[in-house]
Amino acid sequence: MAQASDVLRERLPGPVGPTGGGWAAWPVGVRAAALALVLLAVGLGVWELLVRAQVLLPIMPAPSKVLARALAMLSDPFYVAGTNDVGIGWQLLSSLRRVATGFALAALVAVPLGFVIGMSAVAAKAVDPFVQVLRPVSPLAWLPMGLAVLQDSERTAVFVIFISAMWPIVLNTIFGVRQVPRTYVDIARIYNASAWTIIRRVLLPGALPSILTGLRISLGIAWLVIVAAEMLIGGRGIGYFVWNEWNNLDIASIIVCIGVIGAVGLGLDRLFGLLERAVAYAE
Amino acid sequence: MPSEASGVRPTPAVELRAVSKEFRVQGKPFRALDNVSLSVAPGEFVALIGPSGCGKSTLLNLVAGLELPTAGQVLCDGQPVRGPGADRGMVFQHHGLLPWMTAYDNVRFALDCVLRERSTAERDALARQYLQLVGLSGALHKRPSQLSGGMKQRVGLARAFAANPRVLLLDEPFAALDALTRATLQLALVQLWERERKTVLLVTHDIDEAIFLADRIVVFTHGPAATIRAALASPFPRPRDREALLEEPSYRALHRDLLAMLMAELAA
Repeated sequence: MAQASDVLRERLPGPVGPTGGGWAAWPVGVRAAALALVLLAVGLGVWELLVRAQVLLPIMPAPSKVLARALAMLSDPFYVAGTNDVGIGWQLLSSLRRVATGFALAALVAVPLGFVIGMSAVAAKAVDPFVQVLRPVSPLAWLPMGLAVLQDSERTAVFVIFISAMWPIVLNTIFGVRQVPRTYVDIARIYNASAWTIIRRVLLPGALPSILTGLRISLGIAWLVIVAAEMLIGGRGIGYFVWNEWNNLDIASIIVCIGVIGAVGLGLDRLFGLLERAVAYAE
Repeated sequence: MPSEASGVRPTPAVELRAVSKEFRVQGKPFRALDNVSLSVAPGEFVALIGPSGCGKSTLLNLVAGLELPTAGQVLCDGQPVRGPGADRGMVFQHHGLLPWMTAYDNVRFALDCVLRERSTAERDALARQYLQLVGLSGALHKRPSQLSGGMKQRVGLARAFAANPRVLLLDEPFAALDALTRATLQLALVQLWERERKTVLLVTHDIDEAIFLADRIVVFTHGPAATIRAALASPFPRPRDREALLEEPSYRALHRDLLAMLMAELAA
């Protein structure tokens, strides 16, 4: 089989050369895209067949029905038909606003905090046990405390996002500051640079790629957490929207939402990937 | 040399009086330098050679003020060293340039720190002038990752000289370079030094480099607790011609003596 020998050729060392055209002659990217389309078609085909054969529960929609629902939902994302009956665009914007607020607050607190901790070996050691214990806690565990203290579901959602985003930024900022080679600081010290100059022109640019990595991870986690948080607190937002569609037994809507949540998450990640690359430096 | 008694002996540019330095390595004290005394005259070029790990770099860090001695005194122009100062410049072997800055910005950064009272235009002109002196006018806006090892060390030299320190500390600046690049960089250093006659302390483990560049060669014993074994003059008149020097019998004798001392230290 052409594919099998192709796999062997990629894995095993040996002469690589023209193999007489055909599938193997196409560039890797084209072949990968073709394979992805085949996988998609097979997946959708099996799904459609299972629905028609009535193997799945009757509430499970066929792919064609999901596609039709996606077109309907995405063609008018910003309709308003009532307090809670609004388009998916509004739901997304509500979720994005909460994530942006919580994430921005977390960055404002976590970057300076991580910086201060990272500059002192004693502080880094002292704070470490707290971070290590708090970091593996699901941010949702903080939700009841948020409700109790803040007494407001909107602010609680932002608080939960703040907590989710906090730890990766703190940890990556600490790491970023600590991994700046001592010689870089010595260069600045040799030229009598002030502490503020060392922070601004040596430690900050040196740690920035790591800080951006922390921000990127945090944003990904915040986007994961907001869906669950909104299911619990209600109101407007993509998480509550998904929960609401479950109460309506509207699986097609839920599947469309899953796709949309994934696409927005991917977009956010790529955006921060670009920022990360912009501040990267090679030794 | 004027005698002690005449009282006209100038204040040494750098003086170490019975200096010892201990570090804590994994909780245990480690004595890098033991009872080192050294006096360097203004404008003198001194090379420090010795086995690896003999504390030569520690000595430079002490003079730079990046570290403070455990015992003894380090003086610059008769003043005790309490920390880094603009009167002392340094060229590092590794990580010598800030990688997120261009060659120009690396030099400007030092000038911005040291020459705060000068105008921006003056600092800009100085940075360009010294990068031109080391032959890097065409690479002003390249980042270190885009420069070869030799070009990086040229930027390091330009930065050190541009900041106009009285004492220049060079920590194996050419050790990582190939022989040909090293030779051209040595010439670049000599040219800058002949121009400005700064006091120089050069750490190296290259005997030829030490003889070719220095007025005096200080040999260290092996570490830990390294100290000075001997100090030999490199009495050849300047400007020195490398090839003529190699023909000189006294050069070969000096080279042989230094090599014998280093071998003895390795065997000890």
